[in-house]
Amino acid sequence: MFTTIADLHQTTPISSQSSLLLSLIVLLPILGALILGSMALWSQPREQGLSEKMLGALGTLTPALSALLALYLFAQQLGQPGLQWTANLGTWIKVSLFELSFGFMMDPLSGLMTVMITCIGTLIHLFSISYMHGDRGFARYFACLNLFLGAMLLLILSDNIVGLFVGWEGVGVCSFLLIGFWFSDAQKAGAGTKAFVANRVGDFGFLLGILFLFLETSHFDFAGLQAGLAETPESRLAVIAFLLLIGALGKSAQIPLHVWLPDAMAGPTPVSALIHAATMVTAGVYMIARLHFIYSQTPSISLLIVLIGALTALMAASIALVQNDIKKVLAYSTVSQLGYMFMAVGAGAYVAGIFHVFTHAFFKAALFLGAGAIIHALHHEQDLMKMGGLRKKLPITHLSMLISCLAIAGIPPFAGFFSKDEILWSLWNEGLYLFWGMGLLTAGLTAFYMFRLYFLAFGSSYRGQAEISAEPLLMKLPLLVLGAGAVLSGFLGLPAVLGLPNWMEHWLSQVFGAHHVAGNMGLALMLMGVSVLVASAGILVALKKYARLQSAPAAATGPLANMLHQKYGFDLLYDAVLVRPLRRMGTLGWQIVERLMIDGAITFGLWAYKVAALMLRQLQTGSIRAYGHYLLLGLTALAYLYFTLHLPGVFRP
Amino acid sequence: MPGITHYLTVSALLFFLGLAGFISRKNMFMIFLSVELMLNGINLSFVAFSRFFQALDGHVFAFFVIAIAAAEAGISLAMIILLYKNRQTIDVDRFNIMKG
Repeated sequence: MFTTIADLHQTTPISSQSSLLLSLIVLLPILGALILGSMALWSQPREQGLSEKMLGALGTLTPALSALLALYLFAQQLGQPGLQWTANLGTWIKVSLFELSFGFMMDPLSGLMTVMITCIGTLIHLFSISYMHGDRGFARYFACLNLFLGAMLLLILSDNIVGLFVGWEGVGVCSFLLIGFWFSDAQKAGAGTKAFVANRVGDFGFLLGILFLFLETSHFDFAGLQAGLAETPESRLAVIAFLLLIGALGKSAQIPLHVWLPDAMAGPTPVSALIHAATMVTAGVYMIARLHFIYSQTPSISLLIVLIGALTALMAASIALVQNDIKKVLAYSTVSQLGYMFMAVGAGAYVAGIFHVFTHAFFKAALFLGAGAIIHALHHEQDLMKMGGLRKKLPITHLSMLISCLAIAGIPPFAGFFSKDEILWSLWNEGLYLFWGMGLLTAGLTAFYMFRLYFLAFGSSYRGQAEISAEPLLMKLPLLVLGAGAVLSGFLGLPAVLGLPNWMEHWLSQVFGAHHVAGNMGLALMLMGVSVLVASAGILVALKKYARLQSAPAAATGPLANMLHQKYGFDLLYDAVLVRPLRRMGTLGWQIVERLMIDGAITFGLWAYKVAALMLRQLQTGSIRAYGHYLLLGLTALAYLYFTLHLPGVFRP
Repeated sequence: MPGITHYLTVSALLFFLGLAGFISRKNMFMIFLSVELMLNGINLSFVAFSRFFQALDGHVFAFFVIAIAAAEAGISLAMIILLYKNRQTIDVDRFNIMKG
């Protein structure tokens, strides 16, 4: 069922090559963030901010440079299989037990991820220039976005798990900063806090997992971990795998820590595209794939991952059916697609999981940027019911979104079809028929709600009042590139079972080991046919219901719809069990400890001083003769004390 | 031949007479003179002890006190003149602007 350590070593021998360029990939965006951050601080108190052209160019420059470097290094890797780039920036932590260095490592897996992240990141920076036009926090926005990219690249490229954790926390912080970007709106600031807290819950487990790993192996670097864990019994591995999984659940928004992602849509739309669709949320999947040598040894935890992934995929897809906010639909579809990726890595199909991360990044970024373009054109209108007929007004957006909807629905030959079917095929092959069924059902739901979104936004005629403005060039360009990616990226992983070349499988086998799936070609074709049929059925239902809509339909009612509108009550449950008791405890602490005990003690002391001062003031009469009396009194008292203490008997009769 | 007890008795009398004057008088000049009286009472006991112990320390102190009293007389008299010029009175009870 799972690959074993043994066949990991049958691959091409790995040759390491050191290059400082690798560290530049990570450091450039961080440098950009520092420069832009100081500019943001500088322009904060001033009436007029810095020129947007300059800031936008500067903000896009560092990601673009990183992307070029990543492409260059990746091209070298392509030409020389087994090549692994490394860079070492010197010692980071040195104590008696171990030494940890600022090390970077780019193997086939992280190379692929780096290229994907830097390229999509650059496009989204480009898009942001026109989306954020006129915003007071322009410099702050680009500083955060650059910092996010730097942290994400640190997460991907670090050669030890502590560096990965630093990047992991970094993207969490940037996510908090960017979700709450318009922080003067209490609801948006609250969404940022919610994301941060939910992530912290996961990070707690992740940190514990890292510490247990160190306890077990005395290593932090991945090579050392892999070697050190070879002898570890499965029960211990399972504990570690479970703790690390908690972190992945938080970051990748899986049940029960998924609640933050839909709320994260409070941030600017390009942020949703970059962080909450294409890159950051895939960190959990990446982490599991990176630590595949742990998860492939713990079948119980892997099965748990499949279960969580399947439940999340189905749950999120069903909630997406009733959402009317265009970004909320996309948010739930992201949660649902992440569920697919979890199913894949849980089933041991790491290649399929990473492949879906890769294709999903393109079509989901395109979808979110398309949504951003629509929201921009409609002057911040996000309600699908007030859209419609946008096909003619926004042709490029329409084209890109149509392609992406087809891709996410799983219609061949678009990208999503190949990666999703690879996952379903792996599930079937592992004998996980129940989860295959759940995946198939989710695929049908996905096709339906995505085309519901498509027809509501682009089909029929316009139902809103807001003026529609045209799409700027800087928006068209990223949309076209990402749309092309949504078509083409699927061809990197053609199904091997049909005898087609699967480059993705071949490329990642350097990391995950050869994972040949012997399967029946006829069966595979039949399963593909079934999933395409299900997806088409979903599209047809959406077409029938929404394509010729003239006015906004009434919201669905009934117990099921209510449950979906309540999002299965997760928010209500957390509110009742966690948020409100904690808040009550806080109020109690505030009222009793802070107000009564601390403030009370200080107020009482102050009051006592006031009373004493009022009394003692009376002694200071200002009359010198009174002071003479005091002197006399004092002198007498001193003399009396002296005689009684030092010469006893003087006053005794 | 008077002994140290006599000197100390006179010294204490002078000091307490001065203190009584300091407390009871209202005229600033009289207060000033009372202070001088107290200083000289103390001076007397310094000198008496110096003589009694056959040591020079007391003499030194006595001269110190005399020097300080001279300086004090200069400053106090000048201040009293200025106060009179400003307020046309040297009644010490009229000067209580330092009341707390």
